[in-house]
Amino acid sequence: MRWKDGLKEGVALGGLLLIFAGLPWALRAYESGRVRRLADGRPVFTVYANATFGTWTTTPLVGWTYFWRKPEPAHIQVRAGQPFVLRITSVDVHHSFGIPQLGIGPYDVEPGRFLELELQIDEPGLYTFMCYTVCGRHHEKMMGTLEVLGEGP
Amino acid sequence: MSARSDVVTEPVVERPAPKRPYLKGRWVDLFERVRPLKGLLRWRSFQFLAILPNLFLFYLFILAALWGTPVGSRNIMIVFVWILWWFALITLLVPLAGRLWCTMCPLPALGEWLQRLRLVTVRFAPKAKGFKNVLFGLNRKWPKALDNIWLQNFLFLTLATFSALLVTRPIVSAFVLGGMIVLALGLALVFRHRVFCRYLCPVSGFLGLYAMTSSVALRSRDWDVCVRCPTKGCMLGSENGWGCPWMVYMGKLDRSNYCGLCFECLKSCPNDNIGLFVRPFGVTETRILHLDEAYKAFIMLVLAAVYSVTLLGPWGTFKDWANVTETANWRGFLTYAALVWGACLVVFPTVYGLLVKVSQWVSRWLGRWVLAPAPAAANGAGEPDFRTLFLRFSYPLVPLGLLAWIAFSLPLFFVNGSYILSVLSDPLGWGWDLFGTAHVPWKPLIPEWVPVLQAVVLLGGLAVALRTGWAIARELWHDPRRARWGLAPMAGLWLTVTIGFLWLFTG
Ligand code: SF4
Ligand code: SF4
Ligand code: SF4
Ligand SMILES: [Cu+2]
Repeated sequence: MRWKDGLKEGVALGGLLLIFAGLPWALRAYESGRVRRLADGRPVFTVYANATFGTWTTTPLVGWTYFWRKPEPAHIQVRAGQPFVLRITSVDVHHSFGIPQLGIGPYDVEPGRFLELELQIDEPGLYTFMCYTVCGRHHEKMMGTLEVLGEGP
Repeated sequence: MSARSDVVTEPVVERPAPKRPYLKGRWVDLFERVRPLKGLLRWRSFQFLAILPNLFLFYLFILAALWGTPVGSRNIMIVFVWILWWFALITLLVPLAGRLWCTMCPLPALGEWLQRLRLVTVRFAPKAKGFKNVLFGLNRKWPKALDNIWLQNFLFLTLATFSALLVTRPIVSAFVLGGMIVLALGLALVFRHRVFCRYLCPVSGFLGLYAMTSSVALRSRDWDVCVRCPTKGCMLGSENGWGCPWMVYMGKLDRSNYCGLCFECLKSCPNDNIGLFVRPFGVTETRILHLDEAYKAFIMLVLAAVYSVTLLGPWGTFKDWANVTETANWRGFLTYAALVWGACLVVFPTVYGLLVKVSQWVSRWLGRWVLAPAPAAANGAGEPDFRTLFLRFSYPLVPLGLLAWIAFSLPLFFVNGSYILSVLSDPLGWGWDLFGTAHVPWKPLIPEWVPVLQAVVLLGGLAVALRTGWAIARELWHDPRRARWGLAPMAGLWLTVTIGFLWLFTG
């Protein structure tokens, strides 16, 4: 191979590798930067609404896990008085999120969209969040828990 | 400049007109009109650079299908592939430029690059017998029995049967695209050239068939030059270009079906004998040569009808059957699959074949009894046989089918177009808003005009079908009266199909 051809091949191969390695990295980096800015030091919980199983879950349900992973019902723990962020999305149909005991919601949860709630709960206790729209056969089962622990260690 | 021939000092060399049997009607050689275009397409890095952005996009689609939301309408995989790409392909790329998508398609690229062990330059082996480029891999020849598009027909039908899953589930699309990439790669290592594209790619069959209508075609500028050409660089390769990866010999090429517009021959032809011709849509290249191609035309037309019924029509149950994931109704789905395959491979071809028979009878009967029998026609000699009629008359179904597909795709694009904007800002459904368009509300575009557009498109298809049908009939029966009678049953079919689609679309 002449050196000029070699150079061309090298540049082309470089471009190719840049795409293969760079794109996944860029997607991840952009996302984590965005979530970090959103969190602003607070804990962030991502909750997925799933109508097939009738659950709110923190098990990540994305393209490749959605079909085989059995989602566990969400159990979120925070400390009383500690601000935190809830990111809620739906992986299938329209749901509606609310915590009746705390007078939070109901908020619409749209498929493929994120509802971002910035919360702080001062009263320790065990709270249940639920779905306010009939979203399918398992709508009744759609319950997750938010456990607010007392202050201190 | 003298009118008197005896003053001419130089002998006028009589140059024979270039032999271009594929030229009919008005043609323009784009390379002569647009000079820089030739330079661009000759540039060795051109195809690589055309593929690169698409490789980037398809890679993004696959990543989005794996990591992004499983919700189809919020995932770039579904929205870009099945709304944007499909629409651009069927309404613009194919009718205007045929297989131009294959120029920039990333799916077989990895395999081809591995086969060549080069991305932008050529490997040249001047002493090699036959092919003048060295290809990595086993370099097997594709079996003769599979040298047709039947496999593509079946693969396309299979994908079409599962289309409801394909167009709603990003991960299913990712598996199909990923599977195509892996298969193309594996085949590239076993066989010479792009056998995946020629014989397996499910998209290839219809791209090839509909490329016959396209307004742009790459051809040898003079077949006589090819006859005298000692190197046959276009097919065998040279120091400037790879031998045709699509196994096409330019010196005989008069149909666009299997030329993947990679423009290698433009680089490898030592005689500067490749031209890019612009021609009127749909009317110049009307020879369907084999049964697999005719069946492709049937399949495409029937599928356009099936999709129009399931996606746009008023029949809900049919819709449910197609959509197994939502209903888990396997028996319904199997019925649907059987109906689709039966309609494509048995019912339509049978009806069509019967009409061809009728056409043959009518013209023959008329030839015997009504019209003054031509000497040759009296004993049936010179009559086109059934097979010829069957193949030749399947061509008008090509423009008819293509325009039916365009008509079908119009509402899908105009209705779901707003998803394109929102997914552009949030490709993975992760809650991003890159360009501030993530929350564009879903809004159908010009809904009141869509049926009008569809009707215009369908009638355009009918017009092209009738025009080419008439030309074909004239070639088959030299007597125009018999051509007219022979054409009638066929024209009836095209008219019925058009009315059927009109009724489906405008209800
Ligand atoms: S035949 Fe199929 S895989 Fe090959 S270039 Fe064309 S679209 Fe891509
Ligand atoms: S290399 Fe050029 S001149 Fe020779 S056969 Fe091919 S197209 Fe014709
Ligand atoms: S004839 Fe072959 S080399 Fe030339 S553009 Fe078509 S596919 Fe490429
Ligand atoms: Cu719900």
